[in-house]
Amino acid sequence: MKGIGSQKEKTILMLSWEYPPHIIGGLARHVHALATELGKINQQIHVLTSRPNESREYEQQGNVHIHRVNPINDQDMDFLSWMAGLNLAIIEEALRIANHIEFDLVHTHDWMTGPAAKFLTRKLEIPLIATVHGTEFGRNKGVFTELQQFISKKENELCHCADEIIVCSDFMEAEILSLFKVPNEKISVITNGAVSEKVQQTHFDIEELYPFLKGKKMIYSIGRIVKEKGFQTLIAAADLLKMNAKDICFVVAGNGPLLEWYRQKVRELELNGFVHFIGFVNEDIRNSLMKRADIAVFASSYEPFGLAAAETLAAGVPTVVAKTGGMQTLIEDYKTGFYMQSGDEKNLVRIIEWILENEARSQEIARNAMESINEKFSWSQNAKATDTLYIRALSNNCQKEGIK
Amino acid sequence: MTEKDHHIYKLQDQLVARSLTPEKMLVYWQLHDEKVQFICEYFYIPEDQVIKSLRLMEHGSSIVLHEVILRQGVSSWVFKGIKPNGNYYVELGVKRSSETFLPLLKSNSIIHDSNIRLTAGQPLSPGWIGKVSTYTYYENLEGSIHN
Repeated sequence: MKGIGSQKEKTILMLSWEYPPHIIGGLARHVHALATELGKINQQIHVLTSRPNESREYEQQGNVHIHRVNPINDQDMDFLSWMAGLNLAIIEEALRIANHIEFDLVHTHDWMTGPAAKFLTRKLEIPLIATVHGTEFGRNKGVFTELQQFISKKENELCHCADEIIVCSDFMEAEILSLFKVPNEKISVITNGAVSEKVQQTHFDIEELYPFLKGKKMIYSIGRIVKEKGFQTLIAAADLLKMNAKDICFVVAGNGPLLEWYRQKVRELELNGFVHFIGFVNEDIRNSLMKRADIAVFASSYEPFGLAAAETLAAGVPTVVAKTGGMQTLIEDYKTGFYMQSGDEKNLVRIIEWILENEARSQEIARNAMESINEKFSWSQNAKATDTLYIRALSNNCQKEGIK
Repeated sequence: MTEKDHHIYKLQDQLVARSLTPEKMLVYWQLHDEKVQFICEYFYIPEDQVIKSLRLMEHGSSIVLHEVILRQGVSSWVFKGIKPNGNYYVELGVKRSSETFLPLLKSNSIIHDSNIRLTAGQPLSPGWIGKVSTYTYYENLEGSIHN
């Protein structure tokens, strides 16, 4: 471990099971944005992650070094065994790198790489920072199955062995304190960032790709297609609106286990042509969709932060969010956005109708949101706050070891 | 310089396969206890109950040709009576139950029939990938929507 004097420039070992181009959910984008911003303030970041098809084993982007590994059991049908294999592969690679590079601390994201992080911090005798993005209890409204119990136990262990825990909202802080009974002073709330510049810069003609958008007002949503994102409420709202709103359409982007189930639901309700589940989209298409959207809706029942909602707010799209989790503090109702009750499609319909009928006022609300969000949530601020936490963890560690 | 500055971190293990005769194959290995301890801790298996096994595999199929449960302290094995015209590799790992096996080491290949093309660099798509969200795994998709 380096002495206190060299703490300004640090070498961080960052663990995440997903990292671009391997994007399963919001975690990859979060870690990428954080690593990039930390790199800009002269921190050396070594990201260790899994290796999807044909991605490179190593690449460097500025001060961010990305190392990708495959588990020995990369075809394992058992999810937990696969994850165990990934953790072992991460440990081996991290130790190989540690023979040449002196890491100052380990920063892991969620339980999946928690076991490797715990092992490495013990072995290298350096502090452990853990960002907890969500909990198994929160996602499922309880812990019911053996698998959920296993994951929850891993989350608990990670929270207890970490020197510092980062969460993205006050809501998540309360959830971690109540579930895992960790000391209050160990948890820091560092909000996510929201990026809007790329949305304004996009020149992609989205109507060429999705001709059904021509002449229509677009109600947009995006997220992993899972139950807690509340897309069933969106479909139910569309069903109520279909007779009276011929000039609108719903577009939901994202992939996930319930995608085909929702598409089937849309067919059953005869909402084809009105509600479109378009599947996974890349960053260019996502930005173009945001630029084109007239309204954005995030009807989640569980949302630790609400990164996708923060992004549409930052892009100046009138945005409706469910009053749940971290999204509860994202907006001011009818000042910078619109609150809906989670699971209440009639409530959502009333808000959509209000926005459509009060276009000028809605645009003003969206402009207010854009200013407020860009002021409150930025990745550079997130990185600075994270760096401050790194310094605190290193200082505490030095004191523990008696190095002054 | 502290003692730590000189530390060489090593957790690289090896499993080597050597053909003794077309029907006989020797395998030997080095496996750090730390690696086994890590897996025990991960799956909450008491260390004195961990079962290590060797599996003889044929290239191009996931069929286990032969499995050996290893006694404590064993670090080599001879497979006898194998088909002389096959292509093989061996895995050393931990059994979580009679059905589940987690490989920790994979050997080099023993090639007897070079006409069969070996597959390498399998993609990262082990079947369950569609069921996984950023942070979790969805066990029962239809059930989850109705609950």
